[in-house]
Amino acid sequence: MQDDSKLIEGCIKGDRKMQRQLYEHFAPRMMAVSLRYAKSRLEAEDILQEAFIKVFNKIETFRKESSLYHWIKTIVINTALSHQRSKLYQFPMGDVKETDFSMNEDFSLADFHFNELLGMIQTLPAGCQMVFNLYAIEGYKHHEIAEMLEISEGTSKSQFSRARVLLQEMLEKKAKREVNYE
Amino acid sequence: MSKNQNFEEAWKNAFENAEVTPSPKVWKEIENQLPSQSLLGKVISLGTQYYVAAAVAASVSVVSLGTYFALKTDNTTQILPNAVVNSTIDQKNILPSDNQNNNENTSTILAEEKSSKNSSSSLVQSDKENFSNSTENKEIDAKKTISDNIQSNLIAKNTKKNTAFDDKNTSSKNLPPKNGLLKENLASNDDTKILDDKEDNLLEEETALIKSDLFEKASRKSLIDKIINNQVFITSTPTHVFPNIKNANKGWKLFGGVAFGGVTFEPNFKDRRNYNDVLSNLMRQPGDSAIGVNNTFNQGENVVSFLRSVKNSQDFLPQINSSYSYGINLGTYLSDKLNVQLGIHRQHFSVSSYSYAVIWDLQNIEIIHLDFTNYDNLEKHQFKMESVKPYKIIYEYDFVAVPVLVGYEIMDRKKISVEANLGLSTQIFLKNKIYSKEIPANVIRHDRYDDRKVFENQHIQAVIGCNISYDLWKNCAINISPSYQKAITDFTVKSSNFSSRPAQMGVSFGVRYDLD
Repeated sequence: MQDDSKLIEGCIKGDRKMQRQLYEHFAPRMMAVSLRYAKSRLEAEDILQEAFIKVFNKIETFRKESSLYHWIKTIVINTALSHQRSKLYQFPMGDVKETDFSMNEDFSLADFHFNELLGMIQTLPAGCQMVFNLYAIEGYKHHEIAEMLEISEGTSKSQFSRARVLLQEMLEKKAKREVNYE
Repeated sequence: MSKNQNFEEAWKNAFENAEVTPSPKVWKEIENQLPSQSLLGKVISLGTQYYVAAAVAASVSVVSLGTYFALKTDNTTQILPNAVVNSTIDQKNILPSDNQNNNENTSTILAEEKSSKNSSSSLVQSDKENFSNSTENKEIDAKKTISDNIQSNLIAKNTKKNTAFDDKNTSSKNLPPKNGLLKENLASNDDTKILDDKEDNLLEEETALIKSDLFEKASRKSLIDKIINNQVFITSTPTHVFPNIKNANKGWKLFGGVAFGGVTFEPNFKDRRNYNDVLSNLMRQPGDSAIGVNNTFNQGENVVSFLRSVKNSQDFLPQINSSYSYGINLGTYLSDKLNVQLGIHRQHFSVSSYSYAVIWDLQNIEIIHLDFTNYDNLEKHQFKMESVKPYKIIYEYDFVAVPVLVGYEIMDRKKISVEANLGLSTQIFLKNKIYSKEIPANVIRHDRYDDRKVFENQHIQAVIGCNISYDLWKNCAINISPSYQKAITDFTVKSSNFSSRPAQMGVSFGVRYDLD
């Protein structure tokens, strides 16, 4: 792939070939990101499509303060959050009861296929899914998440706590079933 | 590193550098959008000469109330894919490859408005029992017998399954979800299997019965039924009132109008995607009452329970919200019978839709209409269920309408005149706002402007109608104006994946008083 700066330059000029190249280079990783925020592959592709349109429309505003990858990823995440925001209108997140979270010391996801893990995240309630992605995987702090999602920091924490419990339960059940098969 | 950090780190590592190839159509869609991006945001500018006429002059207040009836055609009616209990979803591409029941993993049932011409198996919501006729009551009674039989079986089954759930050590003896992410291959005994098969068949039968009930009710053509089914909206706008300007023989005549009314048009969104996400579907169309069910584990009996509760629900009642518009029209006669009018109006529409959804990802959980934050009763179960009360979603739209109309006088008697009108109206989108109210508390939950850029900055409507004017006295007349209007350009932006061409037909009523 050509140098990022040449890609960016070409995209600013509207060079379709460059745009395609940029897309093909980043789309697979961004698809994996949007899948984590979506409930289905179709929805993920919609998010991806909308995000890349924004990327090409805003490419001239890219300041190179971060890498192009992170810039595009930020747009993908923001697009995904916009998609989910309509759900939050109807089903606003509230504080949920925090439960104790106990975990084995030797916790590992190595035995699980990527698609299985993705499916688990997708089955989380919408609020939990978003908060979990932003906190655990993207690395945002709770106060940052609260600002992004217009919720309280406490809600962010409780939603994440719930997500953790749900995922842990799913993992344990899956692992137990695998043992039964053997 | 703490255990929690270990957990989060593990998940982060699992997805780091993950790649999934999107389908080729994504790039095609992007490519299609790119050339048109520069065109978005432009406002059609009309000649300013007519706007200059907005000088302060003797203005006439006209108060009109209009009723518009949404028409549905085959082409625009819909919309969502056929949604049945066991519909296929795209999650099969995500789930583990050893899942053999991909096509039954998630069922989404959507209740939506429908026309009788649409013969898809999609469900349609309606306020059911109270408005059904005696014939339907008899049918429902007959079906209830089947339902009752199923219900008793379900109760027995649920009791058995819930007991099993309480035993945390239970594994293979648990009756599994039929399908779903955590599919289990259980070796149940023959009797249980036979019972399960029989129950499943009954469940499917009842589901089909309820669906056909809802579909049948939604197909009724009567006006009352359409109102009940939220297919008719009361609206008002002076834009297409076609006030009689037969006295404007000399030059241009300026008149103003104010209108008040109710809920407005039905956009007839056509969703170009296959929506499987019930939550998105609930927000898909203003004025649409939707019932969504997202069943990750295909809990047939829970689906039936839910449908039954929805069927009996009193929550889906038509709403009339306040809408208003005001503006000025300028018109003149070009010849004895031909006149031209143009105007500028500020329109404010308010549309309500109801959403009522139950979402669950559990097995064997009886539908409990909890507040969505209340999970206390579910602690004993492995997963959490979310259930929400009905919400009323209110959309408010603001437009500037710029109609240009040509009128031709058909008849001019002593007191009555009839004029045919034809024209175009440019609807310039200003903003829309969404807020939701929890029912029945009527508490406003959210109040914000919608920045999703779903709607085009402007769209054009074609208008055809007539105006019947009756002179009350010299300078005062009452008007009745039936009209049909349809958007000839898309109401929504392409990137929103919606396409819509709102169409409405209605009658406006007005009073006109000339000051000069």
